[in-house]
Amino acid sequence: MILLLSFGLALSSCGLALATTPTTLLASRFFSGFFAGPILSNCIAYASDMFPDRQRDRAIANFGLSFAIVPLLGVPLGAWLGELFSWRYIFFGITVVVLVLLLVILRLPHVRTGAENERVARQYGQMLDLLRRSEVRVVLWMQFFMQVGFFGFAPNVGVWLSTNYGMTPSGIGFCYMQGGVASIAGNFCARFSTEPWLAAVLHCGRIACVGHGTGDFDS
Amino acid sequence: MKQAALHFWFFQGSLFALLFCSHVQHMILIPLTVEIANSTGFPVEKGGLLIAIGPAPRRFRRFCSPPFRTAGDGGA
Repeated sequence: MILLLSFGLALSSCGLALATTPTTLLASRFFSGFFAGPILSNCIAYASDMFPDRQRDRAIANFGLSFAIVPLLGVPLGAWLGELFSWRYIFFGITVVVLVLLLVILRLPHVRTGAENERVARQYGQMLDLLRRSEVRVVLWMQFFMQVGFFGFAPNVGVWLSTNYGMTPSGIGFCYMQGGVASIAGNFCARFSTEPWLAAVLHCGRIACVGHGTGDFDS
Repeated sequence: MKQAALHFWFFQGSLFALLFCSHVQHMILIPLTVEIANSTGFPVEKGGLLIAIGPAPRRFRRFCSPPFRTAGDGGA
């Protein structure tokens, strides 16, 4: 599955790099979401099945760290290179790196978990059974509203900063670097957030920041 | 023992790099939206759609893939 997803990621990156019309751009973007989305969950599943206890924990923690490192390093560097050369080279670069990684992924050892012997319909049934638990439903609703809030705001930040403040891609990338530092600080705080009041404070802080930003946008 | 540790870092490192690439491919669109929109004729004011369209199939695929997640079979 990881191999298939990686190949799809490479193809969709190449499609993004070669896109010349809005239709091809949106189609490539759709497929990049389709293939890139489950990579994290599959990597975590693989690490859970493949590595023993301590190595498994370390691998999963490091996989989570990849998401925090991107705003710190990947976005500023990519934005700067994209501004220096062309945005197309960034996606060509990702294609080449993923194709090289495919050669390594081909060598990943096979792990039998027993899930292969289960019927697919039965596994979906077990997954849907989770929805009967009230705590799962609450978490799903929380995730839903969090995602609505995030994707209503974050995708428009680049356009907002460029059109209102004339910021260059590398300037926006630098803003992201600051966001990455803040996310690491937030993660550090979140280790205490089994306390509901601290989670509520963090979320209120985020909403206040977004509200302040959009207020600035209105003016 | 040393060989096992080497294997661990090798495989873990490659999966980490793969994850890094998948996240960069998504998030790099935020600073580059205006440039991409200008060079492809995509309306700039709808630039947010370029980023927001990704998570839709992402969520759907995440829901579909768990029963097929025999990840380490070196293939699908």
